[in-house]
Amino acid sequence: MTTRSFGKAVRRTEDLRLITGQGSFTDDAGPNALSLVMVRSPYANARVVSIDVSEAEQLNGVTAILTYEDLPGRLAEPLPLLIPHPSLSAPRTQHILAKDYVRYVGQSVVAIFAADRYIGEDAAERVIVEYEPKVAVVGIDGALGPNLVHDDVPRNVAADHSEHVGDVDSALAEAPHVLELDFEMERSMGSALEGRASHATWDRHSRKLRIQNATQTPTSVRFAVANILEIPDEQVEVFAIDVGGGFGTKVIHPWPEDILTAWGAMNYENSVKFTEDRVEHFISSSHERGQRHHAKVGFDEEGRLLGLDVDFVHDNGAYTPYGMIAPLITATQLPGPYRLPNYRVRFRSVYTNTVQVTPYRGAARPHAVFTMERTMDRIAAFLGIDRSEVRQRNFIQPDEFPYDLGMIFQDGRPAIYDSGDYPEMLNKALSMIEWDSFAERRSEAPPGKRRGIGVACYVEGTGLGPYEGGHVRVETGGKIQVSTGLASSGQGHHTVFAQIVADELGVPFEDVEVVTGDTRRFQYAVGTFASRAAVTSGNAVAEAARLVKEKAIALAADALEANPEDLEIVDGQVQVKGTPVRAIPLSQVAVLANPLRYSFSEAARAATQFAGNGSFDEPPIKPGEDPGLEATGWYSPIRATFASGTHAVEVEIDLATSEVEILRYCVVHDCGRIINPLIVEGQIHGGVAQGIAGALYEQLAYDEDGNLQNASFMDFLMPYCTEIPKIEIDHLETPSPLNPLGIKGAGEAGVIPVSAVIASAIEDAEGFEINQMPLFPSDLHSMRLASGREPA
Amino acid sequence: MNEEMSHEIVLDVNGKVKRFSAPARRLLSDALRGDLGLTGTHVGCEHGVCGCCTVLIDDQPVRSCLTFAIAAQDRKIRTVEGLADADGKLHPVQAAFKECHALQCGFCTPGFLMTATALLEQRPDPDEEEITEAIAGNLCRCTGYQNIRAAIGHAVELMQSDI
Amino acid sequence: MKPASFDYHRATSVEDATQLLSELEDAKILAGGQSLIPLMNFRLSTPPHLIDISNLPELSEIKVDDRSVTVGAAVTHTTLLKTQRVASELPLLVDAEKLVAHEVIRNRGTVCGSLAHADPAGEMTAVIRVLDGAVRTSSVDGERTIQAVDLFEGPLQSSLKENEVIVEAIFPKLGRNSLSSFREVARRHGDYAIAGAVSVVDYDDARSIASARTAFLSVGPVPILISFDQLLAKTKISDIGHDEIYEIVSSQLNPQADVHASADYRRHLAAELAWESLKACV
Ligand SMILES: Cc1cc2nc3c(=O)[nH]c(=O)nc-3n(C[C@H](O)[C@H](O)[C@H](O)COP(=O)(O)OP(=O)(O)OC[C@H]3O[C@@H](n4cnc5c(N)ncnc54)[C@H](O)[C@@H]3O)c2cc1C
Ligand code: FES
Ligand code: FES
Repeated sequence: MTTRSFGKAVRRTEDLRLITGQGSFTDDAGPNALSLVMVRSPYANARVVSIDVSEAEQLNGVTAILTYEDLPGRLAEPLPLLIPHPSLSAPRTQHILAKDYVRYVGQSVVAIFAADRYIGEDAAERVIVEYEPKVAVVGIDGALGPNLVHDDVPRNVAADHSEHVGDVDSALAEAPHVLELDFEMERSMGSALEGRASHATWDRHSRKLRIQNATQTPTSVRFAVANILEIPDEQVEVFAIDVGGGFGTKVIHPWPEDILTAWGAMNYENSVKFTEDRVEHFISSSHERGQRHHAKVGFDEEGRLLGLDVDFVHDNGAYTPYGMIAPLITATQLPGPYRLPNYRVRFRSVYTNTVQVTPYRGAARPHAVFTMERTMDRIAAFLGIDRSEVRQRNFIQPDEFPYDLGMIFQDGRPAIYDSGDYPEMLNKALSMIEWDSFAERRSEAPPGKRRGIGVACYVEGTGLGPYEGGHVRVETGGKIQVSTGLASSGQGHHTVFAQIVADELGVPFEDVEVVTGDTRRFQYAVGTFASRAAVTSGNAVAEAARLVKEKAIALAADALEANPEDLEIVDGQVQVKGTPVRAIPLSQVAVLANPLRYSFSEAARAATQFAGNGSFDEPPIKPGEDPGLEATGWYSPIRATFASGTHAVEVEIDLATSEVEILRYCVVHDCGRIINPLIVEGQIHGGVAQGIAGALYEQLAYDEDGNLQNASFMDFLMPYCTEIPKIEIDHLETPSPLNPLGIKGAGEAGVIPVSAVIASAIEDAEGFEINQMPLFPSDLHSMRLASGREPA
Repeated sequence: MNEEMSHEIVLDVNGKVKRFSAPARRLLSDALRGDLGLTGTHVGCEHGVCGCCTVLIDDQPVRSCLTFAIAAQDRKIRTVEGLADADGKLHPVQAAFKECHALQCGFCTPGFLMTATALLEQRPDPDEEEITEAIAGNLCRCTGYQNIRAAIGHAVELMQSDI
Repeated sequence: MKPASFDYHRATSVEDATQLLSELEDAKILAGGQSLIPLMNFRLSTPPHLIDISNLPELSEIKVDDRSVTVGAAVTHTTLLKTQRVASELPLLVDAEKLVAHEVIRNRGTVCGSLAHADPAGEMTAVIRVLDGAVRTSSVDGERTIQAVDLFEGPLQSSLKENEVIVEAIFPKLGRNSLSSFREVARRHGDYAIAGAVSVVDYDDARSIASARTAFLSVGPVPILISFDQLLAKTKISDIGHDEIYEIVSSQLNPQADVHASADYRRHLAAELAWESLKACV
C-alpha cells in the first residue's frame, strides 16, 4: 500500500522556494513596469474643490495623471458591492478616484503613472488639491451624533438588522436573575507584511491582460476587472503565486489600484504595477474594529441561560464593499457552544469617516465571543460559582448534534452545528492549565505582582460554500498536476492538497504538484476566507482524484485484460490486487488515455494509431469519454461545518507598571479530522499571536479629525517574538459528518477567543470588571486607580 | 523638469561584483530587488521596524531599507540568495526552517534567515535567550514565532552534527 | 515611502565634511541613517544634500582615559556595546546601549547620531545628561564643546548650528564610589521607552549618599534631570522611602499623552522607575 500522508506532519512543499529567495510575490515581477502612485486625501470628510496636476505633469518620467474626470466608462462608477443583503438598506462603495467628496483620510483622489515609485511620489507632492473640509464623523459616538458621512444616509445607518429565536421578552421577564452588561471592542487590522499589490501586463499580440495580484480570490478579481474594463473574461488572466499574508484584507476586491493598473497596462504600452507601502496599508486598505454591545441576560439559580438580548453597533467606516458580513457573523456566532433557547440580536452598522471595515481573521467572531464569554463570567460571579461550572451547565451536549440554532448564517443557509464535544474540550483545557490548583499559584505570586486565570470557549462556522473545484491530471511523465482556484497566502495548501490527492489516487506525495489561485489553470472558485479552503478545495481535489482513479482503472483494465474490480493503485502503479507483477504505471495509463497521431517520446509511441490499441468496432475515444487522464471535481457543502475550541490562560500583572505577562497559554482545538498537524498547529500559533496582539498591543487610534495617529509600525505595535509566549496545544477530533474527508476549517480559530480569555484572566487577577479590549498598561493603570484597588 | 543625476554604483553582493547606475536616493532594498533582480529580500515597512529587508553587510545584519545603495559600496553584502551552497545544498538555517515549519507566507522569512545566520556565525551555540534577543527585531505576522525559535535551535544542532 | 532626491557626498575628512556643510545649502550629515532615513522615506525630511561621515576612520575611535569615555561620531551603538574597556570602565553605557532599539539598528546607528537627533526618548540623551557629559563639535568657524545640559532644546531639536558636526561625545566616568542603574518600560522589547529613568548615586567614604540624581527619558521635550541631593544626602540607600521619591518625581514631571500612554501613566511610571533605579544603586 502507498503510505498514507493524511494526518501526518508532512513538511511543506512550498518552503524550498521561499527559503532560498525564489518565491514569486507580486512586487517581485516587473522591475521596469510603470509605477502607479496615488494621491490620497489628507481630510476625513471634505469636498474636493479643485485639482491642479499641471506642475506634476511636467516632471520627467511621468506618463500620465488621472483624476475622476478622466475615468472612462464603468471606471467612473462606484466599485461593486460584493455582498448585498436585504437589511443593508444604504450600502455605499467608493469610486476609483474620489468623485466630488472624500470620506476618509487615505481615499484615492489622483492616480499617477510614473517611471518608478520615487518619481511617482515626486509628482504626487506636486499635485495641488483644494479641499473644503467638513466635520469628521469619528467613532461610534460620532456616528450616532448629528453629522453625516454620506449626505443621503440618515443617521449614518447602513444596515439595521434583527433576528431572534424563541421568546426573549417573556424569558427575561420570567428569569429569576437578569443582568445588563456593556462590552466594547476596538480591533486592529490584518497588517500582512506584504501590502496590497497588482502587476498588470497587456500582451497586445495575444490580446491578454495578465495580472499578478496579491489577492485571496483571483477568480473574482478577474471577473471584476473584465466587467469594469468591459472586455471579455477570456482576455483576463489573474494569478496569485506567493502572497505575503492575507488575513481577510486581501479578500476585498477590486481595489481602485487593481482596476487602474489593468487599465493603464492596456493604455500606456507598458506593464503597470502598484505596490502599496506601509502607510498606505494603514490608511487605504481595510480595518476591522469598533463594536459596542449591550447585552441583557436572564438566567436561573444554577446559572442556566434563559434568554439573551443583544443590541450592538458596528462601525463600518466610510464604505461597505463587503456588505454587512462582519456584524452578521457576530450576530450568528454569539450563542457559541451554549444552549440558548431565547435569543434576540439587533445591530446597526454605521458609517464613520474612517477606513472601511471588512473582515479580518476571525471576522467579528472575537467580538461575539468576547460578549458571550464575558457574560458567562458575570453570571458566574453573580451566583458565586466557578466560571467553568457555569459553562458546563449550559453546553450543548455531544448527543444533541445536529443542533439547529434557528438562525441564518453568513452563507445564507441555516446555522446548524454538525458535531463537537464541548464539555470534553473544556475539561481538557482545564486540566492542561491546571485550573483546580490555581489558588496555590495565585498565592505564590511574587511581591508586586498579581496572578489571574481565565478560560473561554467558542464555536466557529467554517468551510462554507457556495463551492470550490479542483482539477487533477496525470502527466505522461508521471507527475500529478493539481489545481484549484482559490489562492494561498501561507496556509500550506500546496502541501495539504498534495497529501489528499496522493492518498486518494494512490501515488507518492512527492509526485503531486499543486497550483492554486491561477485562472489560467482553474477558472471557477470562490476564495480563501472563513477557514474554508481545506474543507471546500480539499474535498474538491479529493473528488477529482477519485474520478481520475476510476478512469485510470477502467483504462488499465483494458490494457491488463483484468476486471476493474480487481485493480488497485499503489505507489503510482495500477495493479491486480495482490499480484503486483501485473501492473501498469499511471504515467503509461496517461499515455493510453490520449490516443495520438504524433509521437513525441518512446512512451508516446504506444498510444499512436498504428500501435495496435483497441478494437476496430469502436472509435478511439468512446462515447461519453474524454481524452487525457484528468478530471475535475467539485465540492459544494450543504452548509457550514462548525469547528470549536477552548483557550485557557494564566497571567501575571506587575502592579507598578501594569504590564500583563502571559505565564501559560493553552489551546484545545477541534477542527475535525486533521490533514497535517504541523500546519494546523502553525495556524493556531499564528492565530493566537494575532489575538494577543489585538488584546494587548494593537489598536487603530483616530483623532477627532479622523487622522489615524499611529499609521506606522513604530506606533502600531505588532508584537515581536519577545511579546508572544509559548502556546501549548491539544487536539480533539470530532469528524464533520458533512464532508467525505470529515474536516473542518482551522485557519482563523486561534484568534477568536483570545481577547475574551485574557480579559477573563485580568479580571480574575484585578478584581474589577474588564469590559473593553484592547487593554494597554496605561488603561489598566487608570482602571485600577478608579476601582480604588491601588497596589499595596 | 530636470533629470536626476545618476551614479555608477558598484556593489559586492554574495561574492559577485555588480554594477548599475541609479540616483543617490536609491535604497539598498530597491537596488537589490529592482536593479539586481535579487527579489528574495523583501520590503514590508521601509521604516526599519519589520525586518523583512534585513541583509548582511560585512557580516552584520542591517536594514537594507535604511541604507542607501550608494553608501553600501566597498562593503560585503549578503542576501538570502547567497545562503545555500552553489550546488544547492541548503544552509542549516534554511533546512531547519523547513523542518520546523518556521514559515507560512514566507514574506518575513529572508529577514529571519539572514538574522539567524549572523547570530550563528557570531555565536555557534546560543542559548534560548540569545536566540530570542537576536530575532527580536523581526516581525512575523503568520507564525507566532514559536516555530522560528525552534528552527534556530534546530539549526544549531544541524551545524554541530555537520562538523 | 521613497526619499526625495538629494546629492550624496562622501566626506573624506572632518574638515571636508565641515567645508561641505558650510558650502551646500541645507545639507545634512548622514551618520548611520537609522533616524534620518526613516524620516526621509516618509518625506518628513527632504535634505537636498547628504554628507556621509560614517566611513571616516578619524571618527571611528573610542578613547578611554582616567576621566572619560570619548566616542567618535562614526562609532555605532554595537561597537560601543561590544567594547570590553567600556564595559569595565563605564558599564552604564553598556546598560543603556542594550536598551537602544534592536541589534540590527544598533549595527548602523551611531551614538553621536542619537545625540544630534535629540530624541528625548533616546537612551543616550538621558545617559549623557545624567553623566553631565558633552559633545565636541567642529565647523568652519572652529571647534566648541557643548555641555549636555545645553545640547537639547526640544524634541528632535539640538543646539547644534547648521554648519556644525559633532565630532565626538564625551561621557565622564563615574568615581569608584558611584553606582548607576538604567530602568525603562517600553511597550515592546526594543521600542522607544514609554518612560525611563537612569540614576547615578555617589557615596562618601562612610557609605552614605553624597549625591544622587536621575535623568528621565520620554517624559518631556528633552531629557530631564532631577537631583535628590537635598532629600538623600547623608542617608543610607536602604533608608530611602518609595513614597518620597515618587512624590518628588511626580510633582516635577509634566509628560504628554500619546496613543501609547496617558500623561498620568507616564508620570507614574517615571516615578516608579526612578525609585527602582535608585534602589538598584546599592
Ligand atoms: C526601528 C528603530 C527603532 C529605534 N529605537 C531606538 C531606541 O529605542 N532608542 C534610541 O535611542 N534610538 C532608537 N532608534 C534610533 C537609533 O538609535 C539611531 O541610530 C540614532 O538615533 C541616530 O543615529 P544615526 O547614526 O542613525 O543618525 P542619522 O540617522 O544618520 O542622523 C540622525 C540626525 O542626526 C544628524 N547627525 C548625525 N550625526 C551627526 C553628527 N556627527 N553631527 C551632526 N549631526 C549629526 C543627522 O543629520 C540627522 O539629522 C531606533 C531606530 C529605528 C529605525
Ligand atoms: S522594510 Fe526594512 S525594516 Fe521593514
Ligand atoms: S511567515 Fe508570513 S510574515 Fe512570517
